[in-house]
Amino acid sequence: MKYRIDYQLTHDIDWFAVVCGIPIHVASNGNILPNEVDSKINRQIQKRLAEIHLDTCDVSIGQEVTNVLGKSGDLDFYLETFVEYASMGFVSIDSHKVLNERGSIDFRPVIVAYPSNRNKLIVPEAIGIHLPILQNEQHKSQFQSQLNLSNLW
Amino acid sequence: MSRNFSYRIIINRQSPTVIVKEKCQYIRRRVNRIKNHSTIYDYPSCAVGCRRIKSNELFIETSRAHTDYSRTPALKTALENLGIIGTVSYGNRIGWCAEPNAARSVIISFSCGLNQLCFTETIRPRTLEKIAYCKNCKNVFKL
Ligand SMILES: [Zn+2]
Repeated sequence: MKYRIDYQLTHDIDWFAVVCGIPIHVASNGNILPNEVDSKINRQIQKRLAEIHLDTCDVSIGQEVTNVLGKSGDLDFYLETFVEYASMGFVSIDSHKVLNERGSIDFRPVIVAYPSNRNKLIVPEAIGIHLPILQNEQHKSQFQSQLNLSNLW
Repeated sequence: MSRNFSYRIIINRQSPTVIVKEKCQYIRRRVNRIKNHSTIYDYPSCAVGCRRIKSNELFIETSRAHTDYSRTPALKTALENLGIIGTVSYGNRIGWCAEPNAARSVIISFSCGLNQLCFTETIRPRTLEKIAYCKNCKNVFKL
């Protein structure tokens, strides 16, 4: 089942997937979710991650975070949920809103936090629920080339 | 699943934006309480406070779809000047922002005009960062 479109547009949903072999957590920030994300499965993953006790790992903060946050925000509050998921072994990504020249909003993925050691990436089997694999070429290229995921380490 | 977070609060000396941030912290705790079998899994995208000028009653609302604006005809007309409510204008759906939702509550309570409203900063509950008013809200509320 898909999240209703009105729900997606008015909520900041934590969603989980694998892209190019790397497990990611994304804060949707009102952006549309990829087709591969199923609401029922995503909620199971959210609950499961809250329930199970995973070993936590050291986390690095993305280079762009300070540019994105600007002066208005409190860094600790901003980082909190992203660091939480990164310490479980996800590359944790925010959907940053950018005003385009037409005066409307584009979303740009920004890496906020990630495991410092590549070997600490979560093994999807540890969750016991299959993470959706992003197949769509547009999403793959968005996350892979814009974020340069595999060159993080 | 989500729940509608609506508040009506008497403000004393605190800054209204600080109160909105406090409520956002409460929302954060509720979302995180999945751990204790809460049914709230997702953060609303944004929250804002609105009050009638010189009033100390602050109404806080979050982004929400399908609000019925029939009880606030002036607001409804101003929104419809942008396009049909619920359709996209400047990348946002008309009438789904936190601002018109909060404005609606104030207008219903005080029967005041659109030019008598004042807003707090709009806050993203997940991160407590300030969000810029969208072009639609700037248009409707002359922000
Ligand atoms: Zn708006």
